[in-house]
Amino acid sequence: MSRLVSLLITCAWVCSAQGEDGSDVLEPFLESYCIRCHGPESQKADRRFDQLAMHGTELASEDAELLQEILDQLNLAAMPPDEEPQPSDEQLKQVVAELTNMLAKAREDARDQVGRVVLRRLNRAEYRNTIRDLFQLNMVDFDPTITFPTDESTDGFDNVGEGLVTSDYLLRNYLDAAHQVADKVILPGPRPEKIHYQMGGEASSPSAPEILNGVAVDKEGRKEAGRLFIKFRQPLGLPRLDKKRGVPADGEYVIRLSASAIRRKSRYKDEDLRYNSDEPMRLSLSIDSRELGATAHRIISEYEIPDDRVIEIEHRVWLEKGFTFHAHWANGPNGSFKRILRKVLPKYNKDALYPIRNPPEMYVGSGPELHVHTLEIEGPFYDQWPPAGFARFFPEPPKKPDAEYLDKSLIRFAATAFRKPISQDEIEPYLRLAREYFAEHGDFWAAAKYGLRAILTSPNFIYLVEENPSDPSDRRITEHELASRLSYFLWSSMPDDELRDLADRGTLSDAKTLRAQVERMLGDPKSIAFCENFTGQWLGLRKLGEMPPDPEKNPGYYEDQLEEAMRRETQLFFAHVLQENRSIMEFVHADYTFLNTALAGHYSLPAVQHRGFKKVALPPSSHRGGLLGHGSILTATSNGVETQPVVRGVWVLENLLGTPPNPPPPDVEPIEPDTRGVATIRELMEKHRNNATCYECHRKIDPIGLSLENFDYVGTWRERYSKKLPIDSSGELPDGTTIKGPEGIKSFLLSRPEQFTQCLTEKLMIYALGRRLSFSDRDDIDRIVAAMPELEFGFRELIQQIVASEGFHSK
Amino acid sequence: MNLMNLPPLNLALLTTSILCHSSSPVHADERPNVILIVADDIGCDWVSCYGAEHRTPNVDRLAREGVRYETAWCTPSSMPSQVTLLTGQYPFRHGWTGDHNVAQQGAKELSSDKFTTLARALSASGYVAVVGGQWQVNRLPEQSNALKKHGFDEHCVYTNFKSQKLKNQAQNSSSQIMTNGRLSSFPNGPQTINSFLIDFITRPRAQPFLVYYPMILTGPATASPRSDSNASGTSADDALRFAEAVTHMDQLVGELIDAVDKAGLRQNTLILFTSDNGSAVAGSFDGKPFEAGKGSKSDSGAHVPFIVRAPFLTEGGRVSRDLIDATDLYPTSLELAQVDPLRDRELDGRSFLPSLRGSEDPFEKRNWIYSQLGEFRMIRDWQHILDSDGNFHDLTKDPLQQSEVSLLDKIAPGRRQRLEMILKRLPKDAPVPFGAR
Repeated sequence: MSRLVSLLITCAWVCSAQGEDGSDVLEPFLESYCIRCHGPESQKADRRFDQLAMHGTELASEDAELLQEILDQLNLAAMPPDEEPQPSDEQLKQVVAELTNMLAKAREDARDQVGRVVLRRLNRAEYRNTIRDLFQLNMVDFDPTITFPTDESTDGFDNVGEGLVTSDYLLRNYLDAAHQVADKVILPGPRPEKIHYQMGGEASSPSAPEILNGVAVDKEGRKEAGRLFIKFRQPLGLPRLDKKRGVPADGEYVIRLSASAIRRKSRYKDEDLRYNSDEPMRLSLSIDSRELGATAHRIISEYEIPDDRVIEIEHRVWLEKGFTFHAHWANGPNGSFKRILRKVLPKYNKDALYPIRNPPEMYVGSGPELHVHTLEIEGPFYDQWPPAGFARFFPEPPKKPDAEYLDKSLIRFAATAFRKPISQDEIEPYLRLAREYFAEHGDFWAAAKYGLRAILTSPNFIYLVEENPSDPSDRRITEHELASRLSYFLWSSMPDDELRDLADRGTLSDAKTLRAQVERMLGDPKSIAFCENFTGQWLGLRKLGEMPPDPEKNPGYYEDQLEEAMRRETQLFFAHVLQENRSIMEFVHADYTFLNTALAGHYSLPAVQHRGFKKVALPPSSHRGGLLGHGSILTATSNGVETQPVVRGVWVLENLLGTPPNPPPPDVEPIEPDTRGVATIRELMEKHRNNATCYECHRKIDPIGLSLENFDYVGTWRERYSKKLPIDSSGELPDGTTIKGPEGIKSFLLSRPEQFTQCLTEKLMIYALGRRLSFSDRDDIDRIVAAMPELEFGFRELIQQIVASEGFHSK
Repeated sequence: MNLMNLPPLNLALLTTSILCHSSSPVHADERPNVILIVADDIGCDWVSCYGAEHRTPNVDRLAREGVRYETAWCTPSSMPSQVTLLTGQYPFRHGWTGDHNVAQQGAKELSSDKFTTLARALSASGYVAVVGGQWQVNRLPEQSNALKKHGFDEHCVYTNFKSQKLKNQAQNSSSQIMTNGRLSSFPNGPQTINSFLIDFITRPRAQPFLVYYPMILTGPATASPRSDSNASGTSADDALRFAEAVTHMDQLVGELIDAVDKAGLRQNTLILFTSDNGSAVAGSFDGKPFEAGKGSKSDSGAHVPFIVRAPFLTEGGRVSRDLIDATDLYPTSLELAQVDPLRDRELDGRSFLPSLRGSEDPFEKRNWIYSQLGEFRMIRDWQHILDSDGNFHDLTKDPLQQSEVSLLDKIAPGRRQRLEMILKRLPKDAPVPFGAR
């Protein structure tokens, strides 16, 4: 199973060990049904069975995997192909029984031998989350991993140990990240001074604001015709804060402002201003850092501003040192203020010249304006000082901290950071480093930082170390290793105090406790990491946005931020199935989904009477429901210009059926789209039929992909390509099932719940174990798949099953 | 006049009775009273609410209670300004492009056949109008009914323009003052006229009133504009005497405002304070000396203080950057009095009532203002000034127009183009409406 590849295996291998084990039955079977295509002359799908060594006890794992593939294909009745001679039912029964037997035996043997230590590095997200939880930091805008290289994805997931290599470059990044973290958390000083800057108000402003043209302004606000207002899309900030290069310290700040919407409707036409006067004005707050530039820019909230009435807004936000904030008119006129003065104003005022930049005074006061009356920031505020992440390891530091306090603190820290109890031997080198530094420089806190950095760059921190078992036959993982596996599975982060406590006491592996802990962990907000990381990779949501639609032709896609909305829909849906323990078959079909107004409009569904996302019941005729109706997946499998039925077909085979096709032969040209617009993609794809090499795989891929043709490249429903070209979404699957449209493919999937269950279970197993699956994991998977119907396919139950599985507890 | 001599208590009693009286008539005319104070030869550089060093507490009080306009223009010379204020027309239209002194140059007078003054327009609609101060556009007292013809029911004006010494004498020696047709001498001219106007204002009546008050600055330094503008620098002595005159002017204004307030007319009376041209003697801003603008072909010649207190329109306390010039007074007053402009009398200005009310809409306001002296024309917006000699300056950076606009300034050429376009649109000078010079 390590290559999750399913094949067009047909028959046949020559057994090297005739007469032994099941070869009596197998050999003739393979000889008559398989060997012609998968033998010495021809190796279709790169499979050759004539060199298999078939002794059960000596079965090499590669051979065992091939045998497993044969068994799967026979079970699916996918092989031999229809046009080839077919075995009788009796023959099949015998062979299947024989193969099953052989493989079970082989697995048993293999398990005793495998026992290998998984040494898996934390990936970028895990490193970041671990730092967050270790020091209880607010990591929204602090990211020491920003320069880390992207983690390699193996078997579809970026937390698979085999793919997580370590490079010299990464090591240097670890050193740098440790430096940043140490500086951020070691805060022995007094509580930082509060700042309070404001504009427009009266207090603390050195020069009282002047009333100019009816609007209170001070000198700084006096820029455009004396108005303090948001100039369209230009941000408005506090000049004092911008000049001082941001806030003086990390902490929670309160941003207050008062604003009102003036002349939402004015004499100017909407198309001249490029603005929609029908919707209420919206003001958004962003936080920015001049040092980090655009990467740090983030909208933290958005408000509707009422017409002609002053609204007071207060927002609490965590700001990193050096960050500033700005107010924006989120739906203000598009384009520059300059354009209005040059091009629009002359249409309305005979004293304005085209196309010169007329005085702003001639415009200001006549068009829509978003007035900001006061703008203010105060902080930092702290729940406690020193911060929890510091006090946790350096509690009540003495006035003159000594080497003894240094030792104690670092031991305290290492025990948590290494996620296991530590021995004196293990910690001694780190302590020595810090002590020597202290002795040499005499600066206690610099020495503490030094020690902290050493621990943060230790393999014990960076790797999920699972120790070599002292007794080779006992491959069970330790309690602390279990705690780590669990928390990196469900939280992508380190175990919390409760898990650590249970591991310390040695009771975590108790089935009941474990079950309760999984329930608790899934209920914790940190489980969002599982939802995001797993859906991002299983469903390929991370690909969304790699080939975005053309902004010129799809302005709505960007204005309504559909990409984010689509991603959110899928994540909310996934989280809902998880939290409510719904049947995993709802991933295939559900009669509800999660929508906001923009997405509902995109799907031609009634508007959502709610701000933000809401669970919405779907009418049967909506064609939505289930992952295949999600815009996210339909868009991620298109190229931003048109649909790609092959990509969609492969996506379904790979991620829902668990039977990915082989990659195409290297010498095949991809289909060029027909620009004359006569031929449909279906007609073009018919060409696959003419080529036997292509047809082998494409007879599986194409019908599925074409059945989704009613969804265009951004996932909207369509009945025809153009006036003259209707869409034909029907097709015939290799097993003879005819399907039509997404409903067809859905009912095909629904009729084989065990296949989808197996696919999802395998994906979850890879993600949970952080390694490629091996042949010996098949037992676990089969057992779980068999148990699921009884558990009504509940998603939480599936997670529980995986956590309880043999593989999850073994090395 | 007699009122002013009464003890305060009686005055208070009397005021109350006036109030009762004035509110009793059957058909009380609710239209607001208008008082136009046009100070003589004072630019913004002598008014402290504009940042001048010299203190003018009473004018400042008006600014606190009203709207102060930062950018208002008259013409650089007294006579064109007066005619512009009275007719609502630019000099190129009414013809008084310079100081055509009726008495000195034997020119014709402001003809009531050709021009309808603001006073005539208002009195025709039921206002009672009075003029106090200087009147240089008719030969007085020979044409004793000229003021009546121009719409003034009452007057109290200087008559003698033959001698430049008049103004110098006005303060100390007796002056020839014509009060409602009767000539008499008073020891203190300006004070006399002020008292006359206060008496007029506080008299009970059913109709609204218009007070046109072109003041005379009773300082020693108000020589002929032409000779003055050419003289470089004024002696410290002159500056001192000019300052005294400004202080005196401020006191008179204060007395007038007090009288209005005490008479209970504050709410329904618009008081405007402005001037007829830039300063005759250089004042200073924030301790830095400014220039004597009077008669000069520049912003400083035409830029005047402009303060409006109209409690029925605005709470006040406001500073405005809206553009205003002398032609705007006429249409504004007409709108206040709810009078339609005469069809055959063209008006060049625009009512600034929207601005007073606090409207932000630039379409209800001006986007350029204009001034003229002789054949010299100039126009400005909020920032730049352009004149008919082709000079173009950024007034925010260069208020004294001493340096060229930087070539790197990307915005300036467009501004210049726009001002040129408007300047080009304005008609040629009308033929002088009076005889040979």
